[in-house]
Amino acid sequence: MELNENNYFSDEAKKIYTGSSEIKDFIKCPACAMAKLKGEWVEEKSKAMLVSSYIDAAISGELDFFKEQNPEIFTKQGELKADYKVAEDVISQMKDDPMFMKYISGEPQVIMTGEISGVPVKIKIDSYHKDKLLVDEKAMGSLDLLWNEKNHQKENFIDFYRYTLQAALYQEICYQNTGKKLPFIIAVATKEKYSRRALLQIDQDTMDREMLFLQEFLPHLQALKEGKIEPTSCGTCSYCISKQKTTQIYWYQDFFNKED
Amino acid sequence: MEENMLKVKYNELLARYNKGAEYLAKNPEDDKALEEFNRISDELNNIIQAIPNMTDKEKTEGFDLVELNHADDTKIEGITPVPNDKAIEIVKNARQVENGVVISNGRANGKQNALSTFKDNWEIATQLAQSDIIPDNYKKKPANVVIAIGIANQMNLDPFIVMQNLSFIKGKTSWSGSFCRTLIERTGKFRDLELNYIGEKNQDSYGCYLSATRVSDGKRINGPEVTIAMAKAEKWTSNPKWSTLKDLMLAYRCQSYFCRIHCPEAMSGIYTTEEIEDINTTREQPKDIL
Repeated sequence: MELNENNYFSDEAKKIYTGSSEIKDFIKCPACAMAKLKGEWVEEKSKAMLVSSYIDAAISGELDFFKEQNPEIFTKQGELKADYKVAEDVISQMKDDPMFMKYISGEPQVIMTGEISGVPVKIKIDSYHKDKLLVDEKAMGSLDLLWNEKNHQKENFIDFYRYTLQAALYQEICYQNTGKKLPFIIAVATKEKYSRRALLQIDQDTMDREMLFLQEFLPHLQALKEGKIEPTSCGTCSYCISKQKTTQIYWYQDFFNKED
Repeated sequence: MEENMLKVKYNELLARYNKGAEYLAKNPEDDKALEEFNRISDELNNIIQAIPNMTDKEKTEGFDLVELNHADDTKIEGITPVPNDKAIEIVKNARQVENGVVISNGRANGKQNALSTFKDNWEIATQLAQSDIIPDNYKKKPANVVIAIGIANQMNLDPFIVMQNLSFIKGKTSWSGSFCRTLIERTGKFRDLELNYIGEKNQDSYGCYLSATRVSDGKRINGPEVTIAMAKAEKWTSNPKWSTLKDLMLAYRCQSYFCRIHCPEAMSGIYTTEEIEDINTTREQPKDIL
């Protein structure tokens, strides 16, 4: 199956290829990821996600199409809701930043496919600078550190959301397609009235380490997708909570002292 | 393989062993990691057996030390380079222990040192992590505390001393530079440690080296010289401490070099805080690619 803009996110494509969001879904909660794949669970579109998509659409020149597809971003009077007005501010400040614009103005939404450990994977590069660089654009709420409950520490958004994995995946698939191992940069802008921007490069050591993880993890993911392994539940995501059934009584101290 | 090569391999495996223990502390159910950890443990065991002239103290450093009493009340120290909870199982069934290594299974009256088991360490760490007087890196972080306890056990130190001197910088554990000298002295291999400054102050030739008397043969040993010229060439000087605390940075650096060459086991393959800071500051800024 040859992937293009129209079928990249199709169910058929998802059955064959694995993308970076799906990998992260499976790491987070295999049960939820499988339910999503089967169409049994749909992640609610949050306002934050929509604002990010609004900014992405504006950058890639697809804003009119985006507005058409998402009428909920307008008030009854037909005006943009306040959050999207902030997005407009973000975009105009971004356009006023030449170096940032240069990095996000590569060839947009370039699709490539390849294989890692025999598992077919797909990537969609936000801004591809042929033979030079891969750029992924992120619109974040802020650049403040985020509390990682599991690791008991604050983390930057790249480690917190493990965008390092995406970097390794993109670099490898691009290498398989072009023979060039390119650096990977995250172009981040915050969704604040006075938007902060940064170009953040992921170092090669980190990508190499993540690549080793992918080589180990993808066959396991594929086995899950093919139903050869029963998916486990994380017990904490929205999907797992929606499925929870009471099975026992706890001492209240034990219940609230649980690690996860 | 010659002895030096074996020791290099030993240090490398020990570092991987400790890293594995750290990971397993956080992910006790990762069977794959446990399998890999056991493989490293086996390899370490083989290396230990292969290194001639290795003292019993060196053999036990870096591992979980398990003390047990045989039925005949003979105290035996057995090192079992496997996670402690598994170690208990092995030791409980151990019948023969030779050269500190469990060599066959059977039934014995095992009595493990309370601090020797990973499970026990974890329980102690959970309690210690609640303390207000331990360094911030350890407060409410039992995973960090359990590492400090493990190292303290290996080195026969107070866990609190280890916590005071073992930091976590950018995901790496490191000894405080000042503690390095103590680590050298604690090996018992050297005495009369002395810092010797050379060259002219405020010149690139200015530097120092550490000298010490080797206990085994009384010979005076000089460690490598570290100079400002070397610091500049290695780009350590981009760390501002090389401007404000020049003498101290030179001293810390030559102590850690001495240790790394003459008694590497003392640092358990861990760098000093200053070395890590220098490495971090010397990383080049990403270039404008487009």
